[in-house]
Amino acid sequence: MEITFKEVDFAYPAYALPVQPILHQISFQLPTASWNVLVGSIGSGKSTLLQLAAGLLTPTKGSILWDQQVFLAGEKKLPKRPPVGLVTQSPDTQLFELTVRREIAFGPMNQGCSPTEVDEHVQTAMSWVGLSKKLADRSPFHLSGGEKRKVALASLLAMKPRVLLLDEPTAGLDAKGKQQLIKQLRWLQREQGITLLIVTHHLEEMLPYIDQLFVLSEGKMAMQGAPDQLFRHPNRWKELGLPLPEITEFIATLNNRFQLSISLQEGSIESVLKELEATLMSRGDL
Amino acid sequence: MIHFQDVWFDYSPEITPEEQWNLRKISLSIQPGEYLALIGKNGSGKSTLARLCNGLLLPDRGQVVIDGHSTANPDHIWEVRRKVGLIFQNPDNQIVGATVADDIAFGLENIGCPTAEIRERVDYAMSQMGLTAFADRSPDQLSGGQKQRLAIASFLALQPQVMIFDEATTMIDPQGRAEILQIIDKLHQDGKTILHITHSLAEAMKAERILLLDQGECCLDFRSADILQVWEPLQQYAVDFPPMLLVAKHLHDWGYPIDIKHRQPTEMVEELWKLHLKK
Repeated sequence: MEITFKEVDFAYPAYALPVQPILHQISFQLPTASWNVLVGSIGSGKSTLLQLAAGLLTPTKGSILWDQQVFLAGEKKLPKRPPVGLVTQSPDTQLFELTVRREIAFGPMNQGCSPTEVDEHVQTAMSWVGLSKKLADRSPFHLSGGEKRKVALASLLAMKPRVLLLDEPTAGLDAKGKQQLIKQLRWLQREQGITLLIVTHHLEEMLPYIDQLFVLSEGKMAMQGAPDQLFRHPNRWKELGLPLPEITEFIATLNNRFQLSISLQEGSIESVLKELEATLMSRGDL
Repeated sequence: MIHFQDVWFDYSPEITPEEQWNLRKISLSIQPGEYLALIGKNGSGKSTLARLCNGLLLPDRGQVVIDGHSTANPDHIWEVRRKVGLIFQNPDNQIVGATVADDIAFGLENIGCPTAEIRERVDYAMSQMGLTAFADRSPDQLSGGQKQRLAIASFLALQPQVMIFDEATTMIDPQGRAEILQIIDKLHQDGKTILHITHSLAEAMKAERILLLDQGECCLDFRSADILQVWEPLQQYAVDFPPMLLVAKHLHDWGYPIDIKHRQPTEMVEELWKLHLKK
C-alpha cells in the first residue's frame, strides 16, 4: 500500500497546549513495499506523524491518502480503517490480554476470522517475529521488554496489515534480536510487499535497506531523499543537531583520507574494512 | 555497598525446574563509588537483578545485602529503598504527577523532605535534565524522550547513594543519550555508585567494570580496559560491538599496535592514517 501526505498540517486541539502546529506543510509519498525511515530529535513530531499515517489522528489541514483513497480526512464518520499497523514506542501500552496467544489472537478474532484461521495467524505471526512457542501461554506482562515488543508486533502482523509503522522497533532488543527483527522486516517488505515507515535513532541497524530517509525538525520536513544523498551534507545534519551514524561518519572520513569511494550506505564494518584492505593491498600499501 | 550472596530467584519457583530459574547462583559485590555496567540478552535476567537490588523482588535463596541490611528484612526495607534508586526502561510506568514539577516533587514529599528543599531539589533536577521550560506541562504532553528525562529528573531529585539505570537510554535520541551518559559519568564522579543496565557495549564501555548475564547466570565479570581478553566469549553471547571498537580489533588482528578502546570515527581514521604511513 502506498501512503501520500499532501501539505499536511497538524495541531492538537486548542484546549491542550501547545496550540502552534506540531506538524507543518508535510508532503511525501511512501511507495508500496518501500523501506522508509523517519528521524528527528525529541519532540520534533515523529510520533505524531506516525499516528497521522495510521489514521489515528486527522490532519488539521491538507490530506492523507492510502492507495489514493481518503479514509478519514475531514470526515466525522470513519468509513473504514486503512490496513495499517502501528507499533508504539512503549509496547506496554498496547498489551492487555491474559496470555501471549490471546493477545495476538485478539486482532484476527475481531476481524471475524474463524478459530482455525486465528490459530494459523497467531502461529505465523509468532514465527515471523521469532517468538518462541514456549511463550504462547505466558502472560505478556511477565515478559522481558524485548519480548513484549515482539508480542506487540506479532499482534499487528496477525491482522495482515499492508503498511507497518514502527516507533523505535529495535529499542530494548539485544544484538541478535535486532538482527532477527531487521531480517524479518526486510522479508515482510520484499516478500509480502509491506510498506515500512520506521522511526529510529539507530539508522546504522538498517542502512543498506533504506529507500527514503525523512528528517523532521521542529515539525517541518528538513530533508528527504535517499540516505547516501542526504549523508553528503554532514553540516546540515550538524545544524539539525542530529549525529550521523558512527559507521557513516567513519566511511566519509575514510573515503576522504584514503581517496576511497565506499558507499555511505554500507552497513557492515567488516565490509568497509575488507574494502580498505583490498585497496591498500592493490596500492601495495599493506 | 551491594552484596549478592548465592542469590536464586524465579517468578514462579514452585513450578519451574531449578535449572531454568530466572536467576541462579548470583554472587557479586559492588563497592561504594563503583561504576558497573550489566549487559546481556533479552530475558537474561538483567532487570530482575536490578529489582532485587532494592527489595522490589526478594531472593528465593541466598540474600541481597545493602550496606549491611538484608533486603528481606522488612524493618530495613525503607532504608534500603532510600539508598538504592531504580529507573526503569519505560518512563510511563513511573510518572505519577499532574505536572512535570509535581512529578519530581512526589518522591521528595514521600521521604518527608522540607518544602523549601523540595523546591530547590526540583529546580536542580529540572535544570539538570533540561526540563525547566516544561515545569508546568502535563507529562502526557511530553514526547517519549522527554518523559524519560522526567523519570530521570524525579530520580535525581531523590539523590540515592546507588543509582540503577535499567536501560534508561533506550528511548532517547543519540544526542539525549550522550547527555544522559554524561550525567551518569558526573554522578559517578560525585561519588555515587552506578549500575547501568544496557544492551549497548558502547555504553557499557564507559563503566569501569562490566558484568554479563546469560540465561540467569553471571557469565563474565571483567574490567572494561581488559575487553580483548574476553573478546571470544563476548562474541558467543551475541553482544552488539560498537563499530569503532570492531575497527580497533581488526587493526589489532592485522598486526597494528593499537589500544582496544572506544574512539570517535574521526579519531579512528586519523590513527589509521598514521599507522598506515608508518608501515
